[in-house]
Amino acid sequence: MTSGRLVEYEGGGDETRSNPWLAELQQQMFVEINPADANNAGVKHGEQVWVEGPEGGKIKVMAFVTNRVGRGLVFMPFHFAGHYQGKDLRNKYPEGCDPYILGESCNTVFTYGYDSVTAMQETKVSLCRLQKA
Amino acid sequence: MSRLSLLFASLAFSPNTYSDEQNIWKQIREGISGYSAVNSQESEILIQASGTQWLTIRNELIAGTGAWLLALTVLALAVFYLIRGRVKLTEPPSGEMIERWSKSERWLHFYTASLFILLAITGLSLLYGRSFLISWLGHDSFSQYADIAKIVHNYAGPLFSVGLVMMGMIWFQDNLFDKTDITWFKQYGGMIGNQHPSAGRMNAGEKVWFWLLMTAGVLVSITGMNLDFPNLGQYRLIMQISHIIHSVSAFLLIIGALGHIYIGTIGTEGALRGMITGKVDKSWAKQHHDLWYQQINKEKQNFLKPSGNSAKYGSKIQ
Amino acid sequence: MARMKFLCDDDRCIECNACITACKNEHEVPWGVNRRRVVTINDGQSGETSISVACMHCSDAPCAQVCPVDCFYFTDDGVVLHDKDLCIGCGYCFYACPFGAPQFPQDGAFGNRGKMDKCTFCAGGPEEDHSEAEFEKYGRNRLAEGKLPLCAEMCSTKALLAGDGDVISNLFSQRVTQRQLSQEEPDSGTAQVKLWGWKTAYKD
Repeated sequence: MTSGRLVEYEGGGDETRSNPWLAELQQQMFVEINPADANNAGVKHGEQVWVEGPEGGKIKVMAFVTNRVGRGLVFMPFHFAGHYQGKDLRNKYPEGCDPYILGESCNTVFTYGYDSVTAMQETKVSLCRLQKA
Repeated sequence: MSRLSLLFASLAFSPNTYSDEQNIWKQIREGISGYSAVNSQESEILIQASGTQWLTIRNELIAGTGAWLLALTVLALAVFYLIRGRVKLTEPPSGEMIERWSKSERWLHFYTASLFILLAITGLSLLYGRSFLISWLGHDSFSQYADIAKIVHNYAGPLFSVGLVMMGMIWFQDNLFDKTDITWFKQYGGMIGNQHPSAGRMNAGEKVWFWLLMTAGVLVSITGMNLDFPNLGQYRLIMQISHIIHSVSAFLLIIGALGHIYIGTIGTEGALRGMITGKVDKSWAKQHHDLWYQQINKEKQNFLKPSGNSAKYGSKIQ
Repeated sequence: MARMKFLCDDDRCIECNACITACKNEHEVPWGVNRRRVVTINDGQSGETSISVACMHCSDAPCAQVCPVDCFYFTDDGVVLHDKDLCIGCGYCFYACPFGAPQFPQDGAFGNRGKMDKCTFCAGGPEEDHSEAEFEKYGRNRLAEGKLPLCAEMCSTKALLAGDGDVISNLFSQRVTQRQLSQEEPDSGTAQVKLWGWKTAYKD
């Protein structure tokens, strides 16, 4: 499991997800899955899946079945927030401050730990399990 | 040698995975779909190949052929009227009236008929308005009219379909073909020549019109409902096919309706009065629908007897 | 007279969607209406190709031929524009257009379409140039300001070209010749090796 950026959003994404011209282009948090892995997990493109991390966190996101990722690897963008383990938290935002698009934050499932050389947190590599929601 | 290997290479690729750069443009031209971040209808298709085909079919085949067919039908009816004239009663009217159409049948007939005329006028306006009405009304007024015509057409359509289904239910029994229809056709329904072929409550001509309504009419309704709800996100190809079926069946219906209106009004003495008042003269019934006339006469006699069973055919003696 | 055209260099387009965002920003296009879109063919596979597409301002525009109220017109620059006051929202242009350019906001019940909206080549509409009514209906009129469409101006790799058809097609053919590294290609295919591109980068 790895994470990365989308061209439409920036950082945690709260500002960019509040911009209608950008938000319209990425309306859902997703996980990119290789067709072979998707077949093994029994999920189709567009369906909801649970992604479970090794420390027990899990997120409910849309399966994006694509050849962009190789077998045995899933990719998630890190710009989303506002859902937590399958629960929509839109009502927790102060009135008028909620972005157009909310979604699971991928860091919910990434592991605690850091790179011993640079002391940077490790948010690029972890293990996960996929389950059809 | 390289050509041979190319042949094998093209055979080895599945149709969806073309890595050949030159092939990709061919694929795009044929309407291959990819991925797009834009989330709108069929946004992932770069080029839809069927659009221009549909355009040609609509603008040339349907509009062109349709206009000729309509003109020829009107012309044929006019020529026929000039030659044959009105089909008059052969016997003088007896003055004794028989109920031919019940009140609900008449209401249903005129309900569906007026919606049909409304739909035909608005529909033809959308197809031919640009060629004929814009030069007369100007762009602004025609656009205002077309806007109303479109809304009327969209809303009157489903109401017409309801009438059509009800017609199908109440007149189904009367419109089953039987042996007398063969003779009727052989004698051109008495329209040509001076014969009076036998007919039941509905003659074979009416039956043909009924079944045209039940086939083309149902097609028009189904495709029309489809075109009515573009928000359901039907593929453009489905909408194009629907539009073609819709227009072709509508033309068949309009041509049929022109003939039907001609026969029912100026073509036949006493027919329109029958549909408006519901009653026809005894002589008219004998001439045009002799079997039906005998039938109700029999019923009348049965009715006079205590063991009568009069409600069976939906018609009563007045 | 110049004939305005768009041209998208599929070797350069990187699917950054900036053209879409630039367009939406400049013309304040509502959510759900997309005058421009980027389509990626063979996404994630060998030979991945991205192309930005909008109204191509056809010389023999099918939309103009099919419109029941004749609301389309051509400017002197060959830009296909339409009059929203005449449009009745029938959707025929969407069925006829090869590129899926016409867009319809939903309007009212019964699946009724609103007035069609499409790329104007940043040339506004029939209203007076720079008027408020023009901006509201069609967006900014950059052509009248002497500027070219913003999507092409904004394109980070200059994949999307907009302007006089002769000029941009010359530019493109120059690019294509410069890009060829060698005319030789082993038996594997017909495409020529380029200075950059999928084949050069991934060797497949």
